[in-house]
Amino acid sequence: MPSSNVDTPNTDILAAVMNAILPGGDGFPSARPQRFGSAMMADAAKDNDTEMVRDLLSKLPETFVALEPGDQVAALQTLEASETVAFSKMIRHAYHAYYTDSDVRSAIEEITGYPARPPHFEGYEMEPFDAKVVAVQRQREPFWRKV
Amino acid sequence: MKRRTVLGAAAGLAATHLKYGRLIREAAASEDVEADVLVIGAGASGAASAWRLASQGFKVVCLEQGDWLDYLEIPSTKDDWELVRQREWNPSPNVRGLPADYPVNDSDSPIKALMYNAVGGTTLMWSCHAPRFHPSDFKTNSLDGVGANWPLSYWDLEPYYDLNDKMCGISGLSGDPSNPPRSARQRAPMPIGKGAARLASAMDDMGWHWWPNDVQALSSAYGEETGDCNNCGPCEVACPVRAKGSTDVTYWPKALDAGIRLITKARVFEIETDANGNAVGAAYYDRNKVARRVRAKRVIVAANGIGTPRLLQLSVSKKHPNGLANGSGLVGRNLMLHPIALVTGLFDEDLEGYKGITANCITSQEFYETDDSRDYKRGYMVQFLRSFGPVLTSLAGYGVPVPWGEKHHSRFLDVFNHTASAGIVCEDIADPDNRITLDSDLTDGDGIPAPKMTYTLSENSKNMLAHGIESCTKIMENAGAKEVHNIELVEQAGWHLMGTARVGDDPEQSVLNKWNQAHDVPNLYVVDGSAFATAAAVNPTNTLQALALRAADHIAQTRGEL
Repeated sequence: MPSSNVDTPNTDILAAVMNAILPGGDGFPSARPQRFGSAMMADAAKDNDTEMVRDLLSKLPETFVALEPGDQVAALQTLEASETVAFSKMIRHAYHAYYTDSDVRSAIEEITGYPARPPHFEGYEMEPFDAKVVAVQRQREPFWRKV
Repeated sequence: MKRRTVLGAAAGLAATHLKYGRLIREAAASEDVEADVLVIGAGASGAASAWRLASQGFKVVCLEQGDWLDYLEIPSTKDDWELVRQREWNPSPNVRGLPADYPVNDSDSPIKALMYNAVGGTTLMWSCHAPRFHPSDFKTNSLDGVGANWPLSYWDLEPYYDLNDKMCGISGLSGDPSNPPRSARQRAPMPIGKGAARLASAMDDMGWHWWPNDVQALSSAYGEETGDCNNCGPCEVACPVRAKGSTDVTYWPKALDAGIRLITKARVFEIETDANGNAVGAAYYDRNKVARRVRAKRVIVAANGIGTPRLLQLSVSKKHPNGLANGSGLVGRNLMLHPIALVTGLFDEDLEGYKGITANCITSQEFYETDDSRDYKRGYMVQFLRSFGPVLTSLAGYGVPVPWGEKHHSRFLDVFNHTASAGIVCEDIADPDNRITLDSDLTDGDGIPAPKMTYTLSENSKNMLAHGIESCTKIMENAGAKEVHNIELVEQAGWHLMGTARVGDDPEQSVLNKWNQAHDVPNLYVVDGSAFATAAAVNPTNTLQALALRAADHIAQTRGEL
């Protein structure tokens, strides 16, 4: 049964939804802490999607927060099936919030080596071009079409 | 490149732009101005033609609807750079919606219009790939019975390709067997990285062609205004170290030194003509939305394949009731894009895909030419791509899904930095029904009618895309991909806007002659991608720059006729 009225996303619901979407593990933090939900709503606001997210969350069962994790996922899957476009937008906002969080970026650096900083100004070191790699191609006769 | 040097380079460029910005603002006094040549648009081709003319003593004025880029505000210096590139730096003017932009009604096109409006134009966003057209691209009708022949050849254009390369600096390698021989490249090729090396090895084994790209990005600095590439990746959000060939770095400093008057935030709404139908200049709204005029003996339009036909169609007069230079009825028609499909391989190896220019490392031109055993004419180039940062990886940026929920994180780790992609860039055959018209309702911020884009993907393109997906899937599989995914048609791919005021010998079948000069209006030139008679299967920027330089030389050579 849908919750009666969610004028602003209930922080408990928001935290539970974020946690279900991005539960953490494999070295990553959960998105349950409040800052993730706030960041997600802030990101949604940039695209004028705040009302859309509120409306989407209002369609979750009233008991969503108290549900077992598996049942929360099932409720979200039901919502995704019925509100495909809106749900997809919410996921985008959630990922935006999550992957720009400093703790998450640090986790990525620790796990993968991808630096937790923007590309500039430092850039990245790469092996310079080695002309030996075109040895096979150099053996090929020119094959551009003569006109 | 060392951090201190990079920071210094960026600060130096900002200072240069501030200096020029002040000069420009001071110059943009309230009176109307006169010029030998007016150039409309300060992007790839406008900058090249303006520089070439000014360096030969012409009094040149350039009107640009955008402004100088503020290099200190480039998003790739900030943690949220992947979000900004989806919004304020989105290549679609409809999403970005900056004051300098005009909307494009592209609802009737499966491929969306992309561009940038500023000094440097879309070169501020391009990934610097600078291949050349093939000789056959200029004669497709004679060779393959499709498209239109150009009234000039590759060999006519070759000296201007060389000049453009010299002006901008090319990192690359001579000796590509898929292309005619060319002059030594100015700089060594860019690093190709782990992913491209793996794919290259697979293509070697398959006997298929590949070659390091010619790139207008600098593996080491080239000239005072430039820096060396630091392999940061996202060229599409401009380059703070001045290592890529955006024309605000390559041509404009030299052009301004040669005495050009560049007026920014100037949106042209009409090319004006006299009683004989010749161009006499243009009217524009200045930064204060006051209508002004530049009078000129010759006018060059360089406003891209959408902006140029829009402006020509806006310029209606008694002599030109269907729009300027539109006696053929072809202004706006024959819009050509490059339909693009994407194939992505997922590998066990960490390919460090975030290192190096995202959309530019190596290409294959194995399937460039017509093969009568296939179900399409002409061909495609395969442009190999690296991978995205965390945000766009999670959002399946190159078509590899990452689900939400319990498996999200492990799947993210499987995908992040473990993909290499192939963009299949198809030659588009001109169709007069693919076109730019003026929208009946939509307008820009100055109330000027916006362009409407009508485009249908042809059966030829569909078949070519399918062949490309099949070919690239084989490459990925031979390279050891454990999964291969594809996107059959990339929606955000309308970078290359061509054909809407094409060159030709016959005034009834073309808008421009072999010098990019309007058949109907001899003192009017079009030098952007609109002029292309065929699209080829390669990125158009340095071809349109070469055409612009050549057209400028024609103006200089016929100077006495001014």
